[in-house]
Amino acid sequence: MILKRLLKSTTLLLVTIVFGLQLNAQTASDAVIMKPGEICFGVSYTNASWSEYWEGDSLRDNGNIGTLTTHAITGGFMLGIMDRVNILAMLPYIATSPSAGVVAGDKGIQDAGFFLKALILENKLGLGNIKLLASAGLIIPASDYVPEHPFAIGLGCPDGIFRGIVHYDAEMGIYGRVDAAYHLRGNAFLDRSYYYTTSGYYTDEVDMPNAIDYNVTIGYITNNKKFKAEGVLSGLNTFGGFDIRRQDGAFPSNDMEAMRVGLNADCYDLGIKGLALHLSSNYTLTGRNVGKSIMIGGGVSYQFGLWNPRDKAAKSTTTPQAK
Amino acid sequence: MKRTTTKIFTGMLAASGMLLTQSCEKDLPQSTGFESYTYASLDEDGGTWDPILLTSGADTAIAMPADVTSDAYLAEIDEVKSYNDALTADEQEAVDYWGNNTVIRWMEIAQELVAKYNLAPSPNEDGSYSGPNAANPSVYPYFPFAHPPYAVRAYAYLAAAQYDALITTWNYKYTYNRQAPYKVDASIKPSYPDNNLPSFPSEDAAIAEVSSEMLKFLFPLEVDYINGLAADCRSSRKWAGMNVESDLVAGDDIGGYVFRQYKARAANDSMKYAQVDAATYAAYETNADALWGSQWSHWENLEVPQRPVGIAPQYGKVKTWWIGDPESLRPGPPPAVGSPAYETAKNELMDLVDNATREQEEMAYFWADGFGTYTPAGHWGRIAMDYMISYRQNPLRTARTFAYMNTAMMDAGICCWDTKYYYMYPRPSQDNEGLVCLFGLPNFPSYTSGHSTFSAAAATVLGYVFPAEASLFDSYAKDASESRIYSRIHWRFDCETGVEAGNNIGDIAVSVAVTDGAD
Repeated sequence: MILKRLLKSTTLLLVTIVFGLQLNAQTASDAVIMKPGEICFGVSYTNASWSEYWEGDSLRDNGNIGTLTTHAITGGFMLGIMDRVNILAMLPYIATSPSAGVVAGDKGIQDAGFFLKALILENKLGLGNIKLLASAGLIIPASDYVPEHPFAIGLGCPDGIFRGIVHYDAEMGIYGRVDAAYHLRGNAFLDRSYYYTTSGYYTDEVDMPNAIDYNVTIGYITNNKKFKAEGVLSGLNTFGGFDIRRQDGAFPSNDMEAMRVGLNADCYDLGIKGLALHLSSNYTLTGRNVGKSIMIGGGVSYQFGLWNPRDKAAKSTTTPQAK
Repeated sequence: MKRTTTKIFTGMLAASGMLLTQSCEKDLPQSTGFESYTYASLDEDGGTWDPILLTSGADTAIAMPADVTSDAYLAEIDEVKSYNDALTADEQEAVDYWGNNTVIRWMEIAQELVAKYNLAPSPNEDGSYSGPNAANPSVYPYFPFAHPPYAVRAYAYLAAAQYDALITTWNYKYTYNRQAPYKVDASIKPSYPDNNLPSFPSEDAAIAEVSSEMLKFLFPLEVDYINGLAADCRSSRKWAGMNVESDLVAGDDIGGYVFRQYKARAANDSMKYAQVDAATYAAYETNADALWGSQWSHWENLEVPQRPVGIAPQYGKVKTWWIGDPESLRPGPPPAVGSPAYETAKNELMDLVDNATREQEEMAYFWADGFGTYTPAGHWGRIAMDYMISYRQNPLRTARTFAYMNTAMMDAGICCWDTKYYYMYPRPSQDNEGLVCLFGLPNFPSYTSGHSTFSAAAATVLGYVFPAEASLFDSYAKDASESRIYSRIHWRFDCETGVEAGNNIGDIAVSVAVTDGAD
């Protein structure tokens, strides 16, 4: 499950890329909580590309970029630390590559993410079961990458992410989920000491707009809990920021908006207990100062018991699907 | 267990919230920070210094002001007093912002306008490009496109005009010796450090008038913005207890007069011919082919769709300030493409594609000064400000520093552009697969490097004004120059030759400055 989360996080990063700018990791947006002592490691690869982007609200191509492809490999883990509380950590390596022009892509380790996630409420509701969860965490640049690189691998700012999740399991394996997060962002730092946004600034520090992101998910899980498929509508909106002007480059504090649809699938029937395969994809429908990207990705995760919880009755579940 | 969960959550929220808001809440600086300061000198003889364009500080006549005991003057004093005791928050903000060196503020405003207008035209639907039209500035692409040659010309005209306006102001200050309101009436508290500079005519009104008129001339779409700033700057002198209305009116007159002289020069400096059409441009290509034979292709724009004409091919024919005919300073030819010297330079760049260090990249970004920035000339203006402030230069000295530095840089730009379009030398990425850059290539030929030429000229002038810092400025110029190699925008020989030419041009400007009476 961590993998799906990782996929999603980088997905969100990648699809918002304009000249490489990306949104910070979305995390812990599903309803999964592992038991204490359970750990799940995962690694994923995603490939996002676009050949058009929105300059302000105007969709355009750029012959000096061609198609920009962003590759991301993300490693991470999720660990049950106590009943109803999990921690997550993740670290992506990202490489960007334009198909045209004379400007090189960038590559490097991007932002490290650390999150705490908790199940707050679980109750019967109607014919199904409702869960309320929350997650909070921080992503911070884990290398000295350049946020103003024309094809930057990240925004270069710390981002505190606070998410609420409501998950409903209906009958016959159908479930629905809505989650939304507030991004409280710290400042980014440039390699230069003057820049212009809508006025001039005599500093290397950039005030980054805060943001929200949200996902509306509808899914189906088989009776034996071995396969799962879901559709997602997701959105991103910064509070403030400015538009890319005509023929200007992107800037970390641009106004960024995006709405996209995605399909995800998971398989837990791989013949090895705890091993799972995850596939993910999405497509950007509308946006502002972001690339109109298409993303596909895949990954594997492996879950096992690291220690035995005091309560022997709380056995590991090998398929940590949404219950 | 639930309570523990809640506690952990609350703690985490609080911790990350604190971490993030700490940096967010700080207001980021939109101007160079300086507290108003006591000037290192008043330069009482400043009115006798040689102006740049005017003949002398007495070119325009300013009538003798009313005596400080006259009814007219006392009425003006009453007006200043009426503000002085109870400034509104906005008035206090204006007083603090403009400070007692408004030359610096107007240069910052020029930098901001350059950054705002420093964007190349976007391609049209059919892959062609349109250019800005001075006669119709509000039709996209907006006029001006404040590329580096346009920018350095803007800074040079602004700074030289400010300097001439202040020489004129100083001339009349010490002709009439009318003291500042706070000297005449002790109940008026000056917002800035006390000094003995006569307040008639107001130096800040002269600067506001000449600067605002010049910037409106150069950036015609910004008239409202600039008018607002000029009115604010002017009024802040009364709020600060520094000037009465008649001080300001005399300053306005000087600023207006000096602007008209500079506008006349600007209208005939050939800048309007700097950008050429494709037919005229073809001659540059033909000349380059004749110069180099058919051994290799001359410079071409590498963008998609290709821009058919480079930026300002005839900027090399624009009227210079100090160097006379730029052709006389044109450096010798660069190595032929494919020659051993060329291969050496190419190997250096190919190695940097994969092996540039983060420190080299940082230098490349720090000095990039590309689209949407104040350009290299603006970067040097910004550096100069720090030293003007730390050396507590008065506005006249500040204007002199900017004037010689920016006119030297403009001459450097003219000489460099003449060289660029004479040799039409290709950028490293042209015909060299894999020689990719850190950011986009400028739309003009490679040899010599504009950054290097501008920077060396500026460093030479600043080293003359602040001799104790000369080696530091030279090292900055070298960094600016080398940064273009690290970003693979330039060949090493573009940069080294550019520095040499820039130093030479800086020396010529300094040879004039040393005779102007200020030393």
